[in-house]
Amino acid sequence: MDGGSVKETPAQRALAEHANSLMADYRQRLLPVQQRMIEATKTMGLEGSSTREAATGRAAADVEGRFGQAEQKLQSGLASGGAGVGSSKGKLALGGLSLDKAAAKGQSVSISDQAVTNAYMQGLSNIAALGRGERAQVNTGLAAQADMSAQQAAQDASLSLSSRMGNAQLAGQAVGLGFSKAMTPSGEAKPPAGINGGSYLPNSLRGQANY
Amino acid sequence: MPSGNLSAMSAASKPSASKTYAALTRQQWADYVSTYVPLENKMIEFATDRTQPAKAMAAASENVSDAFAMQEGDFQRRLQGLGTTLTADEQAAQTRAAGLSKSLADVQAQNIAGSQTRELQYGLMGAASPNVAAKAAQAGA
Repeated sequence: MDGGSVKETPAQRALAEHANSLMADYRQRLLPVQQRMIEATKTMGLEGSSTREAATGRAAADVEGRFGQAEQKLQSGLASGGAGVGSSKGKLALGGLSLDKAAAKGQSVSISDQAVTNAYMQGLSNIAALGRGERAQVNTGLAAQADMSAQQAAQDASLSLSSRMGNAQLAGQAVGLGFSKAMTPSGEAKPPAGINGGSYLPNSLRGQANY
Repeated sequence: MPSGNLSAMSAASKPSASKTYAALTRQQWADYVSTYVPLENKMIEFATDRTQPAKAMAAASENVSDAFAMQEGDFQRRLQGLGTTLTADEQAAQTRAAGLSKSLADVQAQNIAGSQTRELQYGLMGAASPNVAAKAAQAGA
């Protein structure tokens, strides 16, 4: 405990140094990659993005290809049935096929655009899951090993989260072990860490006069 | 908590393990807030935006209109390529068929876009989308 009566062991200090090294490594190597992934995902979701253009173009090309083959078969069928493409029957058949193609293309393009939106949201969701892991680590991993000063950080974090999200479930997850350690058996939250490893309480908080 | 402080602290004053952990916790929280919270907010914004299904439906309708507009000219050029044109009666029949076909495609595309967007919104909020159509079918059966 820092500043308290219990000295930290060399092993505790070594673990802390190791955690520090891990964090430095994460920030140097992995965080930039994550940030690039975030940027790529956000760019993909933009209206008129190259991903959307490619998806809708591919959808339209697929429809063209399929209906091109259908039209050839239709013309063959008309010819073998004795009706040329210049006949009324032939023209209306081609017209019907053309309308079907337009309907298919409109829907196919819409669905592919929707698929990009789905992929975009899935990408955000995956990245946010990484963040939730980090957030959980804040509150369960490091905070569990730290003393009261770390618990204070976790409390700050959970309070900030609560005010930002206003979501009881998320706040509950975020509070995690760090907050539960700060709870007294009666369920009341301890005050922020002070001197003597957090055990010191001003008299005013203990219901006693300061003297 | 800036990383610079942490490194400086490690090198210079040999901080206690508890202080190091505390600084790491704060740093990790700061990373989370700056990197991931904006993404979560973006997802929340999408999931709770009641206008999103209508926007998707409008976009789908526009896609269908564009496809039919292009197809009309394409069909005329195709006929010309085959050395034929539509008579007035055939043109009228084609126009009627086009109107009906476009209306049906428009409605269908809008329905699909609207329901998919609502499903996505529900999915982001962690809930299954209420399957109104299936329930209505069950009630009618």
